Amino acid sequence: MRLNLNLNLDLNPSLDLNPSLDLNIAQIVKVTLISGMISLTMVMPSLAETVAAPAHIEDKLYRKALYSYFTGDFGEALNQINLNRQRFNSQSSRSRLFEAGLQVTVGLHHQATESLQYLKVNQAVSLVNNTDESRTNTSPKELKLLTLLQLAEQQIQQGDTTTAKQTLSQITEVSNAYNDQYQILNQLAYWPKPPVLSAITSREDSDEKTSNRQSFSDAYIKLNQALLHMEQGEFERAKPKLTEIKNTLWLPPAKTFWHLLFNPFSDDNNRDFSEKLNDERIQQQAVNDYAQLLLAQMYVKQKRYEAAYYELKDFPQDSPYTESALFIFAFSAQKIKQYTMSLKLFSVIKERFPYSNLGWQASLLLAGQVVDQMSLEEAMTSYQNAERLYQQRLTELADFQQVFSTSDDLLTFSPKKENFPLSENKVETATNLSMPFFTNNVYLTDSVWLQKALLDNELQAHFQALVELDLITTHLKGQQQKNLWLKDTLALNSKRKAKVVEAQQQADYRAIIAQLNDKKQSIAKIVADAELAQQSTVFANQAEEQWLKRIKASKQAITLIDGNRNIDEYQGRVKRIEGVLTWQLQQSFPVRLWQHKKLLKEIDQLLLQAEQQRNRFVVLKDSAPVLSDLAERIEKSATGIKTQLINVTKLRGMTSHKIQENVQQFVDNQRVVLEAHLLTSRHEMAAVLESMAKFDKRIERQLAPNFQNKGSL
Amino acid sequence: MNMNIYSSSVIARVNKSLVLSVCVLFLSLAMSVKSFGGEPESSTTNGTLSTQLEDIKKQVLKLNRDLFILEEDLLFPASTQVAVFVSVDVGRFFKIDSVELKINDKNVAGFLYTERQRKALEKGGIQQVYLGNLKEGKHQLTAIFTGFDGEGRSTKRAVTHQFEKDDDVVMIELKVEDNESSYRAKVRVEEWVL
Repeated sequence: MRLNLNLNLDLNPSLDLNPSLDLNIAQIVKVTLISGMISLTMVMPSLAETVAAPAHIEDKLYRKALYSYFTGDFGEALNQINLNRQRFNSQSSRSRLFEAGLQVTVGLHHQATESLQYLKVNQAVSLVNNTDESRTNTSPKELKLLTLLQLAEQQIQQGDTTTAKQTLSQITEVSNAYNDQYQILNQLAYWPKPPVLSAITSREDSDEKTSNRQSFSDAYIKLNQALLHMEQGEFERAKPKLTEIKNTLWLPPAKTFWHLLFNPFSDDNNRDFSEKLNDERIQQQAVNDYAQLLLAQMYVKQKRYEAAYYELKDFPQDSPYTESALFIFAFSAQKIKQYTMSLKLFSVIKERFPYSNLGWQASLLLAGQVVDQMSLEEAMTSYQNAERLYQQRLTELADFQQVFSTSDDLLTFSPKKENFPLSENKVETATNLSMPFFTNNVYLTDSVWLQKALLDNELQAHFQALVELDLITTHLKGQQQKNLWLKDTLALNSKRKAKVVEAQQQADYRAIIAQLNDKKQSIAKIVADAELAQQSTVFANQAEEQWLKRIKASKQAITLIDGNRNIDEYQGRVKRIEGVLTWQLQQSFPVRLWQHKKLLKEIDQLLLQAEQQRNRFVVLKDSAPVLSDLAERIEKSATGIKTQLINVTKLRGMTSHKIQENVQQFVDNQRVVLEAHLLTSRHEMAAVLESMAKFDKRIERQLAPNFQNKGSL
Repeated sequence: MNMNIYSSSVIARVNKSLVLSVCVLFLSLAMSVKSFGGEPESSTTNGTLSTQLEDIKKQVLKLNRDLFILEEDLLFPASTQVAVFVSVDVGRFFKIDSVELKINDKNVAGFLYTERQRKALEKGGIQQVYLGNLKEGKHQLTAIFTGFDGEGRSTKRAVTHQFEKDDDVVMIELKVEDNESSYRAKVRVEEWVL
């Protein structure tokens, strides 16, 4: 008996029990089904379920967010934290605190407060270890303290000092690392009253504190205290504090990861050493200068002009407080009759700060001094100059108001070139960060009046809001495009799915698999029979089969010529050949039997896999809701984007209106100031004219007797 | 001369010109807190606008997240998703410069690190360097890292990892770790188990 293993299937038209052919069949079955499966999986994605992540995975997901934070992509970090919670139910206190910090950084203060409130309620949760040293140090106790401090800070920022006081009163113990922050927050919450510091300072790190005593935080605390003393007229208490601040070399405080995170202006992570050093130097100078200026202010309040004068004598020229210091210095000089000096100083102020209130005041003070020191004509000229200045400023102010109020887009009103990354190239910005509407850049303008108006924090915040709203619009438009692309992708996938399903339906894979199974079983039976009967010819290969055929044909030929010839020799030769062939087949029989058994096992496995894949295919094919769910979500996103675009437009209008109001108010205030100065200058001019008239009359009187005498003569 | 206004403007100027630390911000905040009391109407309007802006930001963030998830669900479903991450432990003996990834001998991703990104890794961050789709079965991941050793010499580290993709997401972390005993860095592979 010989084995003919031609299965006659479409997929595998011929099947010999040859290993390579067997595998081909198996591969065809496998590839066909798997490709169907893959394409179907691509078009019908299984939705990820929310599962609670084990602690080590939580840590890794958290560190994924950290990477984005450290690379400066705060939006991505925030997204990651949200995703961790949504996808993996990752809710650790550390993540929540990190989220709150990020929310502060990107200006989501209400959300940050909510996150911190959540933390406050769930304070008992301990933290998981982390590789970063600065983070491993955070204990649950520290976390509680940190939460309360940040919560109070948020409340103060929102102007809710009453709640901030309540939050701060819950702090019973404060570690030295956070003591400065605790004190400053208390000062702010209770301002202008003295702060109530009810918490005790933990002793564990008192040595550390001693070494860190001269930090900037101490300087700020003392500055606030000195300001409070000055407000309350306690100058003697303010003086030593200000003197100490002025003369001390303050050091930057040691900052923990959390300190840096919750400080929206801190980019310590992104600066190199020289930049940090330069910042520290500027900050050091600013603190010392400010204390010096406050001291001088205090002396002026006490009418100790000489002390104020000498205090500011060596004040640096490139300080941010130069304008104020220069004014007080000139004012004090005038008061102590250092007229030459004050005259020069007032002239400098007038020239250097032509649009500042102090500059305007300087013009009047200068003219006043000319009255006392020089001739009435010169005084008159000075007042006329002052008058011209005020009139000119009033005209400029009116022009500014007119142009500004008719400006359609306030961001295009005389912007500085530095703003362009925020406006013209905002698309580029949008692609750089995952949350491009977050920016620390301050809006800058070339208009001197707007520059002055922008000194008002509220107006600056409104302009910042406009910039952010424009960035949000650009971002939303980008998201709209993305959503459309997703919609198209889904539509394409739906088509692909239909095609795949159709193609799969044309072939009845269940029947094919069943047929293959039958064939396999029949082969298995042949193999088993051959093993039982030790029939080696079953496993003959093609050449051997040819030989067997030829032997058979030869035998038939011999039978035909039997009787006509002597066939003994022929029979002998055929027998010898048959014997050799049989011997060869018997020799290879065990090996071939084993090979075929192995192949049968493999086919078994492949058929099983094919059956499993077919079943999964059926499941996926019928899971239409997944696609419709995606389509629904895309629609929902489209609606959401549209709604937000409308909201942004509305808010932009409101903000622009508010800016117009604020600028109008600013213009009115400036006009009042200028008109007051103008009026004063005119009054003074009238006084000078009067003096001049009196002087003329006096001259006249002096000259008149002579004239009368001459007349009488 | 009004001293209070005077100091308030000075502080505002400091904030604009120097952007000092948060503590100086506190000082200006003290002033603004003070001014809140004087102008309740203004602060209320301001508060409303800022609240609305915050609300929009919050909604946009939510939209971003939803779109991100939607995109991932559509393009990288869990049944075929494979993600590869890179982390650095300490990084004293190997300053990472670039990484090249191959899956089944096919280049799938490459990344050149900036100083800031390298520092982010050294501070404990984990970077997702690849996200793709793979069919079920056995696969081979090869990662080649280039960088600089402790003495600044250019050096390479490579690792090969066999993994099996099944129905769940496969997440593989390539950890560049310092080996204190050999003063060399090695790359260890960890498959995340969800």
